[in-house]
Amino acid sequence: MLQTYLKVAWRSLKARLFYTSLNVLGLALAMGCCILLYVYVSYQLSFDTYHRHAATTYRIVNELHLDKTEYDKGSSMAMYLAARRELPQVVNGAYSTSRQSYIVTAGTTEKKLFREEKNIAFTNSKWFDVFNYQVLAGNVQGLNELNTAVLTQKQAQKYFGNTAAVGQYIQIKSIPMRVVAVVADRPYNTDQNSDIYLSFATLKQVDPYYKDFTSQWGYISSVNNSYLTLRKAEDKAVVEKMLNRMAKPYFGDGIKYYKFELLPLTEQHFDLRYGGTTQKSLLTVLVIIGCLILATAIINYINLVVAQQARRSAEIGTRKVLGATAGRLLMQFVTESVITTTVAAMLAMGLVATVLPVINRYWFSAQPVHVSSWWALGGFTLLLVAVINVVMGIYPAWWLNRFNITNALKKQATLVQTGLGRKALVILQNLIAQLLIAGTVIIVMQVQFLKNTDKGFDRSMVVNIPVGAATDLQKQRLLKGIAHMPDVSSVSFYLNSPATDSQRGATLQFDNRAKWENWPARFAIGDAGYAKTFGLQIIAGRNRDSHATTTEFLVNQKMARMLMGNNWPDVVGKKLQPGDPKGIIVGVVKDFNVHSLLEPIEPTVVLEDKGLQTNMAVKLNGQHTDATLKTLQRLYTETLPDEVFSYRFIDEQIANLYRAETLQQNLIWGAAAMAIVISALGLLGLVSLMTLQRTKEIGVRKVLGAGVSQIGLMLSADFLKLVGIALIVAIPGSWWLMNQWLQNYAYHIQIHWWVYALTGMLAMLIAFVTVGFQSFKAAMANPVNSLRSE
Amino acid sequence: MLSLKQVSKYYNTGSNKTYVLNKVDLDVDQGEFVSIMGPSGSGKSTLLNIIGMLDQPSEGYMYFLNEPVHQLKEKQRSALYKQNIGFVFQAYHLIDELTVYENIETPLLYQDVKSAERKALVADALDRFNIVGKKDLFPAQLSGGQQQLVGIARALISKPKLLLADEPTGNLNSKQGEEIMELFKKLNQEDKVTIIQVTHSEKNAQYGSRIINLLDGKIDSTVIL
Ligand SMILES: Nc1ncnc2c1ncn2[C@@H]1O[C@H](COP(=O)(O)OP(=O)(O)OP(=O)(O)O)[C@@H](O)[C@H]1O
Ligand SMILES: [Mg+2]
Repeated sequence: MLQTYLKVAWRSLKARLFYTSLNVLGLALAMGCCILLYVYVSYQLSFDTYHRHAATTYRIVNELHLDKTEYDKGSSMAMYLAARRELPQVVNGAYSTSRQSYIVTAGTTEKKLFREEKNIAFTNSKWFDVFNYQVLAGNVQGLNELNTAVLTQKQAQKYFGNTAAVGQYIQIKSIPMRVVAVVADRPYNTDQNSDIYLSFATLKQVDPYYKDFTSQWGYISSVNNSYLTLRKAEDKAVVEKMLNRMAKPYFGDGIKYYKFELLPLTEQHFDLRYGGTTQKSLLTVLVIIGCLILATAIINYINLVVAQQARRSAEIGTRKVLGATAGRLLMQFVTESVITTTVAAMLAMGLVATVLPVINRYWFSAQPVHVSSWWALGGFTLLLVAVINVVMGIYPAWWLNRFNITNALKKQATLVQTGLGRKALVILQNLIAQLLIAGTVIIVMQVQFLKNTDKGFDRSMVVNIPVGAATDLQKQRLLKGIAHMPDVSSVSFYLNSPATDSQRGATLQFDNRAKWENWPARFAIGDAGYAKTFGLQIIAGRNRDSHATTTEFLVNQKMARMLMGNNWPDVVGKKLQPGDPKGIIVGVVKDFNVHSLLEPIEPTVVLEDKGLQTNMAVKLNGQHTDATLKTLQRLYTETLPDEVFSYRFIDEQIANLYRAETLQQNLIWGAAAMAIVISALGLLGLVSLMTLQRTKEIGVRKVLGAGVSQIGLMLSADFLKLVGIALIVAIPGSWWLMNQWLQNYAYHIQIHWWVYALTGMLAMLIAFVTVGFQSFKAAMANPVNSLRSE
Repeated sequence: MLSLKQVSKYYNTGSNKTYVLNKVDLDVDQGEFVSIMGPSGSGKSTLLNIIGMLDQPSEGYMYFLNEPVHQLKEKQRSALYKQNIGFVFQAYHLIDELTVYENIETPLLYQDVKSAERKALVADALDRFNIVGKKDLFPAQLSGGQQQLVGIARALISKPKLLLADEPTGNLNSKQGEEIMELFKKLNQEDKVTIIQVTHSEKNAQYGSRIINLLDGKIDSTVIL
């Protein structure tokens, strides 16, 4: 029997090759999308779930309740040690100071310098106990000794080639460190971000700054990572309470601003407040979009099945007369849909395999997506096929059950009842496509807005060059060298560009006010050249003087207003103590964004902190850029023999801030394109069937004198009407949804009416091109032929 | 073999009932060859469909092989008719996607007949109706007469006791029609298949043993030949 089903299904699919191809293509595209989205979502969800005790491991984080709540993923080592020592609920734990950057000297015969950017961590062997690493050589216990290092395989290869790394030495600041173990490279699905692990005891030697580090409860920094493994997940609340209680003696009155919390390891990837990179809500949206695209393809299939029902009903009627039960007839339909979906699934797999590397390269270049388990992916595809078949089987099942043989066998039954159901499905399909089109337009506009909006500073042609721990003398030498370069318009040694996601700042005391202000100001740290290099506009007072003997500050207008309201220009000349340094405000600059535009402009102080100014910003005039960069490199290597030259345009860095938005834009763009293509395929199939079934009517109308354009329009109008109805529903729906999304941004665009005019026009155009061609082709046919063939 | 008692069929058109069959009484014995005649719209097809259990009467009783059909459940009814009734249509209703061989085989598939037995039965039928050479062709490649021959072969494949034919020669020319009628006669006389046919042709009606004239849903007259 199965053989017969297959044979018949195959033949009937072949007989209607055009419609079968449309179905297969639509389903393959939709399934391809679903599989890709599954890969993306499952990859994101797998982050750091692979560690032994992932479910009971937490990161110590804190909320700082000032006027505005600040979130910090860092914690002090002192707190970590106390928790490990005193809390019985804590069964294990690990601590590291990560994201350190140093110049590493290494090599087998010839020593080389390597600039390691934020991938160095200080820790001990506990780290490898709490987190899963595969030790390839040596023993991580060695990390508990002084001056030792553990490298990932990639890093070991980079330093020592194929020579065994264990037992070799690397040098940081001339301190030799013995490599005690090599571990496998970190997997893709982790937020761990170190490649070089140095023994914790070495930290004080490398950086004297950290001398009281282990006992200072206040030393909270986002690079300090404390993880605690609890006995059981239910202990979380108790441990949180204990942490806050234990901290009290060390923070005194200040404790009321702090709230220490435990962030589950598996949530780390999703909590944007604490440095997570992926919003769970984005994943939800993607799942919904996947379902919608799938629905579009399933609607195509059902629509075509329904439209061909008339043609098939005679066959079904005959089969019933010959003794077929409804169940067996359904099997026939199911066999067809199983064949269709299986072929589509294979196509989809091929599609995914081709497309994934491409989108990894262009969309996910910052964080490529990887298949976490091929087995799971296979299982998902099978499940997808099963679900699609069940959904597609519902209609035939319902239809076969209320099937009337005598009607089916009568000639007049072959007239199609233009079902309300089918119209509703076409509307739904168009609605999905239009929501996605409007969403794409709005997201693209918003992202463009974020990237291009005037941030109050000029970032074009500014190059960032890290200079590490260059001495004052070396900096002077650099400045002198650059002074001779005609294509450099200004230079600044600084820490952070006006738009970054770093978060330095402090509360402050202004003028002679007794009380400290209860809001913190952000710091933009750089020398006197900062304002000029980044094009900050001074609107009151003057720029800082590089030869000043007292400490001078610039503040932004927002801060000036917060201090003195409408008399804001009067802040010039007043005293200010932001955090530790004391000095005088000498000027006010036009508001600029320290952070990305996700957040409103914040009060900001531009100040000098020589020890932190580890970058050099060079503003170029845009001419002979390559040559200038080469000259810069030469100057750099001569002046700083212990450093490694590298540069990056600030523009790129800013674009990086909107990575998440750009990704969302790409994803929704892709989804919209898919939805449009799939629904156009459906429309194409439907309209060609409709015109086929109306051949005779068209013939009669032509004989009665109707013109080609009249008939063409008559046929197209039916569909365009449906597109129009979908638009009416799409406008308020998308208006609401997209405004919801825009609320995430402190600075956002307004949705203008023309977005929907554009959406409507696009949808109409696509429908018209699809439908119109077929309609006019049918309208042009010679009526004699169509009437004779009846 | 077959007995209809006061069988009516009506459709609700608006608020009133339109009777297509009105209190029809009919008995058909084993081995009979009955022709039903009547003007278009008189209810011939409706009557035949009710006899063939494709349609159900609105009122009245029907007995088939002494079973009260009106009391049977869907399943039992379908089993009863699968085994005992074969259908031949004016429009042949062959399945386009199946070859001649497969069309004839289909009822056996639905009756779960074993593969070997199926082969033997279909081969027999092809032989008997002289269409062995056509077995791998599709319906579209056959003439109308050949298609109807296949339709008849298919109707007879499961050896039914009753053959129902609704204008079996309606789409054929007179020579083809004559051949089909000869075949029916032979089936009736040699194989003892009971036949009920609907026909518009006076000549074809003469092949039967009894002619029933329908008019406005009622039996107007009966002629025994
Ligand atoms: N579903 C229905 N609803 C209403 N009336 C119906 C329906 N089906 C059939 N009829 C009516 O029943 C009547 C009898 O139909 P039937 O097909 O039995 O006629 P017939 O005698 O076979 O005619 P013909 O010789 O043209 O085949 C017709 O008048 C037809 O309009
Ligand atoms: Mg009829």
